[in-house]
Amino acid sequence: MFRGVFLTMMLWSTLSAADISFEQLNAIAATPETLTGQFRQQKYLSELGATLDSSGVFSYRRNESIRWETLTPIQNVLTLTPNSIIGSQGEHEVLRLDAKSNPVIGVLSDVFFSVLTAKWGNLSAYFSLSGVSENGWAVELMPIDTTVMQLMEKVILKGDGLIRELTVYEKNGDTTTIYFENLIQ
Amino acid sequence: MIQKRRLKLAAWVWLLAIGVVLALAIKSEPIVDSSIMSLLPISEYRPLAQEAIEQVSASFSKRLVILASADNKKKAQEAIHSLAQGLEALPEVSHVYWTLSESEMGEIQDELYPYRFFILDEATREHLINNRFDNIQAKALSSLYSPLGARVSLIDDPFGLFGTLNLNHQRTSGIQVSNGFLQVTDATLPTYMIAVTLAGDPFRPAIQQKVLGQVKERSKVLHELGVTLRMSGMLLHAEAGAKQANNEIMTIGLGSFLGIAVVMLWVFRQLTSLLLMIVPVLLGTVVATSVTLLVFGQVHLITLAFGVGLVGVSIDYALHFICVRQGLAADKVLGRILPGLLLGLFSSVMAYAAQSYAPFPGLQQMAVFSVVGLSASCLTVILWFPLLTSKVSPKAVEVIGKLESIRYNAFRLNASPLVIIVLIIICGLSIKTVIESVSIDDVRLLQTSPKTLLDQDRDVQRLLGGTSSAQFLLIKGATIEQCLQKEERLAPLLNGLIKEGLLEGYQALSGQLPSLNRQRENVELVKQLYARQIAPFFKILKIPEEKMNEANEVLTASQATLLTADAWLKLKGSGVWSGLIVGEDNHSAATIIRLTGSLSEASKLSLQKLSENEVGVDFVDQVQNISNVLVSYREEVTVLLMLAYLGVFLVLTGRYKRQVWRVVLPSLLASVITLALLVWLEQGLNLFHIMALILVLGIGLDMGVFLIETNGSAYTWLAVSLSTYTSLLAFGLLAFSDTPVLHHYGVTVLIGLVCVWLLTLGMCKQPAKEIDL
Repeated sequence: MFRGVFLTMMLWSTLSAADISFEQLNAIAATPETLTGQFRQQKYLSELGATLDSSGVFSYRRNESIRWETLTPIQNVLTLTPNSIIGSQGEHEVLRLDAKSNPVIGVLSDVFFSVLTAKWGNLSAYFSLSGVSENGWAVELMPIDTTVMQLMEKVILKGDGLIRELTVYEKNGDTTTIYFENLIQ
Repeated sequence: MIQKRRLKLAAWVWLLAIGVVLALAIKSEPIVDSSIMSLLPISEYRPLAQEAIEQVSASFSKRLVILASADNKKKAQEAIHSLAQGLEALPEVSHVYWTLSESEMGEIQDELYPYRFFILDEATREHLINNRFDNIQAKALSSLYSPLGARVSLIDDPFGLFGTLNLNHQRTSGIQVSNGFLQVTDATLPTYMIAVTLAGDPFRPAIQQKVLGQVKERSKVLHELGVTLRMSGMLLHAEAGAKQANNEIMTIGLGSFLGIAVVMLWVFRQLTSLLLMIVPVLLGTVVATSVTLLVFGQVHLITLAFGVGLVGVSIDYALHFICVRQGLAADKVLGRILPGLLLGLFSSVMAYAAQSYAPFPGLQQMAVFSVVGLSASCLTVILWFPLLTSKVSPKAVEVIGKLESIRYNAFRLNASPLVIIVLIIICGLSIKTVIESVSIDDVRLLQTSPKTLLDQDRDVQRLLGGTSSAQFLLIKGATIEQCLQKEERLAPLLNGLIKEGLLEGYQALSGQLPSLNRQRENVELVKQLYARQIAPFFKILKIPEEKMNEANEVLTASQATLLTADAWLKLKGSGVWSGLIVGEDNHSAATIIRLTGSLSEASKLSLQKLSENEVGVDFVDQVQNISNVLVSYREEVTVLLMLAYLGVFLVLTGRYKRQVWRVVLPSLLASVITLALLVWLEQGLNLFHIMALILVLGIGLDMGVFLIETNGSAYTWLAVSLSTYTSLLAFGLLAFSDTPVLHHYGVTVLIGLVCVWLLTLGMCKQPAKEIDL
């Protein structure tokens, strides 16, 4: 089950006391129609004290789909739409999740979409926010939705016009950090 | 003098007895039952199947499901919250299930974690059986590297078997927990569910009023806020049934009472005569209702509506007394009519008691109701009428003259050979029509609920992936383990039916709790997976070898305890599924496989075939069972009726010789013509049409016998005509009932009695002279 989740990036930078609201973020962060780029992902597994590194390319179309292609160490394509998550390797579909039959998937998909497309309005339904805007912005999201609470402890996002880093802290001590690079709108 | 005093004492004792019975009945809290189930025959079906059916329907009957939909989630959730809180406060409700915290859900999900190597997701098992180990690895890697990756322990469950299982377990029901609410996944608008378990019988009026009263009140407020409620449950049908009973008693009962009252007033021109006739009818109905309640614990809607019809028949006794009273002193009447009265009572009681031959509890209630009611009103006439009529003497002068004139001038059917030939042709055509007709023996005959309610029910059941309580597969074995193994052999066949589109889905215990056999197989498969794939898998992940050994050790260590049925039943999450076990003792066990959606004829046929492949598996189709029972009883009652005519003919021939046709032919011909008309009017015949013909036979015979016995007395003609009229109003008005059973009965009586009266008129002896009073 997708109970523990998500994107990560260690953004240990101290957040200053200057509060920032979802509305203010709207003004700073762009919400592009499309975005492509590369990512590096580090998944820290506390149980093993090991980190799983992976990297690849991604592209998204607002409100339509996110294509998340891992190139190393395995080749795997994850396609997210607001209603489903489909995983495939080569020609084999290895995973298919339907948001309708599984609201958790719906919530995850919604959160992931909102983060990448900087739809702060959507995120406010799931998280409370605190953060700073200084050389871009950095925000800490604390879950307020009970479903999200089961999945993650907190999420930290950092960016300028676009998102640059994302970290998800899970309850069991695992973290997932994603760095976004070479972004093209 | 002493005898008179004794009679007086007996009258008062009788009145006291009525009071006591009434008080007892009121104390027992009256219940009006309208469930189809209680109308069903006491089955000759295999007892285990019956137990299964009862268990399934009992849990079904105490459940009320409410769905709230709105155009936004928050509104719908708030509606559910407020509704649930209101319902929880009611003592009539034993449990309200509407929320499940995410942590509780997590707990339920984690219960099966220790058994993750024994219970495998079906697709995973398929891959393992076919040695597609790389497929499992690909899936595990995909989710491990996904940004939305699952929380897994690479030591305890490196391939994420448990996660896969959980996902698919969740997918099998139409409900998901969302923000603590039970969300209906297949609905177009955000929709949430409340499942209410009632504290008592859904047919108790108090429960109906309290629970539905509150829901309906809230529903109005919610409707204005844009929240729609949909409901499903026996409680709704019970309430609708009770309402219908009230309505029909008010309209049909009042209608027939008024019709009778007006004619009686017109005939006897005296209020006292009318009041006199009401007394035994009223007391008869009161005693009958009370006794039925005390004997059966409840009165069925159909019994009650039918009981209203008793009015017509029990009025006969009063009628006879009053008619004879016209020419005699009050204390002499009884001596004159007692033999006839008792004979009449005896024959009616026999006719109604015959109804209990049909194994429908509803009809047995009717038999008790009728027998008790008739006896009570007869007793009232015998004990009270001599006292009540000592000072009044009713007169029915005018009507007797008019009726006599009708009888005198009526066209005699034996007057010419031409008429006889026409009659024979009509009779022949009628028989032909009846023989060529189709029979409608459908469970819908027993349906009492309005269509809107049934539609709503179906709607809710569809959204919840609801299963039928009347159609399922019954799996029998010596132990639960045996049943589970049988289920597992059936599963591929059922999946085949799903693929062919013959079945929407099914719920089986083995889907939750695999047989121990299957569990051992599964763990062997997992061992193979580890042996083949764990090294390459850990290599890709670049995780040190000692961790891999740890994972192997975990697998070895968890092989010890299989999930037994007893252990499974102790889990929190098993509650929802435990209803799939329908019987278990030391020697035998039984489980059911519930079927989703409605079944076509083709589906039923393939399920039947499928069940024949495996010993100890039955396809139970209660709907078909009921229809079959209706067919066989229609045929049996038809034969019974024919035998009755034959018997009556033989017995009466001894007494009336060549005149016997005047007694037997009217009801026989009337029955045949009525049936033919029914074929034309109602497109087919059913059991309840035939049962009504018993009444036609009874009343027709009464007319014939009384007329011939009293030598065609004018008072007898008045009495039998009036009693036909009262029966016609009492039973015939049931033709306007919305309850199919009563409607069919009523239409038959309506046509049958009109025919019988007309035919008797045409076949009785012409009176010696037209009397002129």
